Amino acid sequence: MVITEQLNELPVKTYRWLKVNGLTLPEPLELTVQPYPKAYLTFTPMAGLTVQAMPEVHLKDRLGVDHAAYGASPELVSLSETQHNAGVQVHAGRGVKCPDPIVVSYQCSSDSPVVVDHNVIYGEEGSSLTVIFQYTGDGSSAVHNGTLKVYAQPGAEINVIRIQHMPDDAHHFDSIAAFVGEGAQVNFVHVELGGALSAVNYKAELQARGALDISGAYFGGGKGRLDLNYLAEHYGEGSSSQILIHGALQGEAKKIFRGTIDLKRGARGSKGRELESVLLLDERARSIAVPLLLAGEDDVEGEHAASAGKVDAKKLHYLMARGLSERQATQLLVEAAFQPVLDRLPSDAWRALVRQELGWRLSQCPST
Amino acid sequence: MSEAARKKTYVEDISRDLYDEYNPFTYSYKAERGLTPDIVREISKRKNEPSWMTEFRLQSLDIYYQLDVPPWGPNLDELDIDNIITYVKPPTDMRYSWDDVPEDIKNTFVRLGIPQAEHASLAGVGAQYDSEVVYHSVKESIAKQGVVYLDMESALREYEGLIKEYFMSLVPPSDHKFAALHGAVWSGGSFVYVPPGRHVEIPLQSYFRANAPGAGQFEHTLIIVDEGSYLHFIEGCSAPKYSVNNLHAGCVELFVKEGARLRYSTIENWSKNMFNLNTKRCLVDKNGVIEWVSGSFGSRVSMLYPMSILRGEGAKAEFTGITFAGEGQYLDTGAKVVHAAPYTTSNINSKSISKGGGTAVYRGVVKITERAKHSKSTVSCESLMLDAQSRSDTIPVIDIATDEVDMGHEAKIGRISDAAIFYLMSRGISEEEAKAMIVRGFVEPIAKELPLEYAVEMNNLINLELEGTIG
Repeated sequence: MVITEQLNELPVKTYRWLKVNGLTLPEPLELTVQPYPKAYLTFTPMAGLTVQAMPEVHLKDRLGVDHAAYGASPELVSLSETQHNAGVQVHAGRGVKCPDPIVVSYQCSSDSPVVVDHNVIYGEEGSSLTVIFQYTGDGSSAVHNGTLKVYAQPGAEINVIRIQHMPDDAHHFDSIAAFVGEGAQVNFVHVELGGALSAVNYKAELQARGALDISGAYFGGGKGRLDLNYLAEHYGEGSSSQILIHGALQGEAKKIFRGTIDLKRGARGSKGRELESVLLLDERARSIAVPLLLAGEDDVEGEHAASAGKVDAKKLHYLMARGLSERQATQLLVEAAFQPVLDRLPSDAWRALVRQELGWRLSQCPST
Repeated sequence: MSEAARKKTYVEDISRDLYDEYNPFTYSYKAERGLTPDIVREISKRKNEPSWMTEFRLQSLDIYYQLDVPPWGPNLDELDIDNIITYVKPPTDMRYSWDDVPEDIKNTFVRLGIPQAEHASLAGVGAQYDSEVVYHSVKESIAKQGVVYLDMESALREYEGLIKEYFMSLVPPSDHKFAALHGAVWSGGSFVYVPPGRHVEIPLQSYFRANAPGAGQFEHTLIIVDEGSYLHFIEGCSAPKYSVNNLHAGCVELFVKEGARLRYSTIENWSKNMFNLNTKRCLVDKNGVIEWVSGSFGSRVSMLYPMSILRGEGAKAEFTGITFAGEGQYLDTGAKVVHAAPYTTSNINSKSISKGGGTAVYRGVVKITERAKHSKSTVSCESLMLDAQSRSDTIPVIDIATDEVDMGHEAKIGRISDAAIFYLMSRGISEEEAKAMIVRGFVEPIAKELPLEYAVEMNNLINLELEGTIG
């Protein structure tokens, strides 16, 4: 299959000369899906929890949910939903609380460089569970294209953690949709560290009193391109969303953040908040932010804030005066920017992994 | 919270009845479908323009044919784009003399309380002696300083070299379809040149743009403020245009030279059948300052994003804007800034109010190029929604290509807080008056940037809306 379509389209278009309405691939990307033979699933079995690899049956039939469009592009979503070579289906029964995270780890390598995964998480009323997805690899020309659908039934709490540290020449495409039922809570924590191109797309539909929290951290280095698109659609009364994205850009990395909070008519008493901040570690880095706030209802609160700047020179000098090299001091300050996300990771092991992957990447190019 | 407290105050729309009270003219002109080179040549010929301008118009027309209507922003389907000629009426259909203006229209102006001098200039100074007097008195006081202040047609005759150098150099016809249309059929507008080192005390006002044939809809404003000078220019009038046309594709090009400062204030209150697709742009040299003050109240659809290009070191742009979208209105407004030199600064402060099903959109961009080291930009957008039928969208873009920047952007959407209303009501103020106070407080930062008479005008427009405050 050849990927040609524009990705991550902005929900509401703006000026064309800025080229922010979507991402056009520099050249068509050819993908050959081969079987993916590795084991990727770790979990603790318990009553009321069903975890299966390779979901064959699409949940939409079972749920009768009419899916709105989602994902980075129809092409990528269709590839993943129909031709996936990996994936999991997680189902937590009514009131089932899973104490241990379910860990799904996909690894691209030279013998299986392409991972196309299709994942579904379904939490019945009052259930709670945590699923960790890891995307990594050690070969060249790695490609990951994945979909994840999260269904949180009323009162369910679903935590999803996604850690991506693919090789620096990899392509990474993520299409994520969350259906947040009444009084349900869906929390996403995601870390984007690798890839020549990462196109990540989150969309959530919120029913009454549903809550969405997305905390993201990214690092872009070399000539890496990060294309992040978030959309929170508030349909129900009293729903709330929060999108907090922190990152750092080094070398000639380019990042575009598109974040949209859409407070639909009837979503009375809803609140949406988005915040994006970026540390610029190189004069060649490029940072674009498009934080949209759409309101068709007056009884709402919506706010967004975006900021960009260098590492605080005062803090840097303070740390260097205490014996740290400039690189060490910079790394510490970048880690500080990652802290809100590190705090949300479920264990020290994951925190250590992210720190290590971040530190290794920071040291790749000299800081200026 | 009690039901009564939650009850929404009905906020009255700006009454246009007064403004809209005139009898439609019946034009004898029979429109050809589509805009043809012959029509454009005819416009140019009637104005006795130099051949380069005729060529410029024809080239613009070519570009107009090639460009599409922007696929983003408000829906322009109701604009009869294939039959654009209907908006480009020949000047022979216009009335130039106040005496020729029908009695009922004159009465409308009188009822609006527009001063006699303005009646005259709105009707066109071409045949109006009173307006000539006023016009010249302004002109003489500034002429002593060497300031040139002319309508564009006269400027093209008297300062052809300057016009040729600057005209549509900043907003080229290829910018977008309506810029191309403007290049093809522009008419009227103002030309101002302030020589170096002059501080023009009195604000200049573009009332007289209606002088020229076909003016009002495609007027061109070209202002050059030379080194170290200061000018305050006020565009548009607080009165509505007498016009049956419903497309406005004006163009404003401002050049702020080294160390100069230009304040450009606008209160737009077009009639509600107007598609206001206006392009404004300013090029700012070293240590120059552009200050935009912009109030958008009228029109059916507006697409208006004044752009500042900071190309000189230390250049600065300030934008202060208020947009009020009522029933049937879609006002898509904002500001664009390009930081193209080191140590440049921009401050954008935008407020919008939507009500009665109106849509207010803030759309803007701050672009910091790789050259713009040590730049600073702050953007603040606040939107107030007065009911659940209205819409308010914020669509900013922030594009940063260097690390030595300090950029902050904030936006908020919401309604008047119940707590604030309760507080005021607990002090014995009625709910309506409390809301009115809060709305006035909301727009106050804009009002204080306006010249007194315009601030009063804006406050009047807002007061007209608020039930219980109309005497």
